[in-house]
Amino acid sequence: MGQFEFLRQVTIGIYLPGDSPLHRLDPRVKLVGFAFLAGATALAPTVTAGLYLLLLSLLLLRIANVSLGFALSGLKPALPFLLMLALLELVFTPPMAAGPRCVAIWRWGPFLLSDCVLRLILLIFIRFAALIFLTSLLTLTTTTTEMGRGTEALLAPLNRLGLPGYELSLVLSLTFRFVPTIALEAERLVKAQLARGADFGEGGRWQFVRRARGMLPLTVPLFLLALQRAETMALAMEARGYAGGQGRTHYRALHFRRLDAVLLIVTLFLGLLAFLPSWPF
Amino acid sequence: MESKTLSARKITVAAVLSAVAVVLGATRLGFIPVPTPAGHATIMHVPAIIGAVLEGPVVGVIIGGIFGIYSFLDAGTPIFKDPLVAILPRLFIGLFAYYAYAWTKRWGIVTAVTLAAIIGTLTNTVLVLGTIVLRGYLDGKTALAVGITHGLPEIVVAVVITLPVVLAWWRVDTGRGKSDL
Repeated sequence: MGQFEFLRQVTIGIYLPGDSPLHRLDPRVKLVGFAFLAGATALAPTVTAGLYLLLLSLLLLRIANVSLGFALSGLKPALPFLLMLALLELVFTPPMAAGPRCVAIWRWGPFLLSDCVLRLILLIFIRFAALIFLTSLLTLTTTTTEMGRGTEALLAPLNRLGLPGYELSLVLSLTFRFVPTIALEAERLVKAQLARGADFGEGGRWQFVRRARGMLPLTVPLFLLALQRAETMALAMEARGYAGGQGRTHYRALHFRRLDAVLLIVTLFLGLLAFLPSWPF
Repeated sequence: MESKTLSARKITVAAVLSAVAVVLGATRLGFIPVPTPAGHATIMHVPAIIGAVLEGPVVGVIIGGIFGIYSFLDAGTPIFKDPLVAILPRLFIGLFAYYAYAWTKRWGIVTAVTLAAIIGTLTNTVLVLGTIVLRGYLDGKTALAVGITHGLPEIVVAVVITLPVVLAWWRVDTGRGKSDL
């Protein structure tokens, strides 16, 4: 029955309690810094710039006292896919790596390894690893409450534009709150339907319509129970006089200290370094 | 007031359906094995379609966005560790699904919801593969092949899942033949 313990598979929102400088950082700074570094990693133009960002994220993990093994566990399941992708790139050279200035390094049958393809493969791998580390860094050192408060503050300018910024952050916090509940519900539903003889695993790969139909005893009640929960919750909110959340205050106010400002500027600066034109390859 | 802020109902529906999308992904329940290179069709985008049909485009876009952020944060495949691929295309699932539904509503609810599921799924497949090509991870031909072999089963699966949920919910809501699940 272990395979049906869904709650354990939900790793989002896992928080490693700690007292590192990163744990104590203002959540707004953490979110902006994460978005900036993640963006820099996704757009890093060269392999060495990517490597630099990878080392930077490793250094940050060290500061946050997160063990390397814990962060690396996210990398393992992706390895087969990475290999497949590398093979695909070798056989079908993508246009991005097929410029006239590419030099062939190695050729064997349909496989052609040029320096451009090698660069692309390395870049994809490095970006992936760095982003895994950055993501664990953010989620492991920030509680969901802090995350909600942080997004609320960062989305506040949207309210001025007439967009539902406050509501968006409320939706995010509520999603975090509902994920475990719905995972538990899914677990109960699967067990209940299996006890009644449901066949979730029946049918081969080609019978995907049958398999999808076989999922209905699970998905229909899962969605309907979720929607009912939403109705109840909306009713409860209205009964307590919810009428838009603007101007609400909080029990714990966020304080933007001088250290936060300094670290924010340092992060932005370190991220920008990746775009120096002098990174080779 | 409705125009500027979301009603409590829209907020809670968006949150709950986003949570369903996250749970479908985290538990792998949302992946149905199909005979394609990727090996499975995902139904993680279905909550965005359902949210759009039930509560309108804004709710659909929000659910799509949260699904995108989740698939970015929890990506097991390197391509989705790119926010442009993982998040941006997902915003449009709910939007297009809603308009597909709204414009064809007069042809009957079953047709409209089916079309919303088809358009929403197509949006996901086409825009995600499109950004993958634009970002240079795959070339156009490979992406097209993946799109056709992967997209078709995914559309079928999405319709099979979306339609009963929407129909069942509306029947419960209007009180005709109330089901207690």
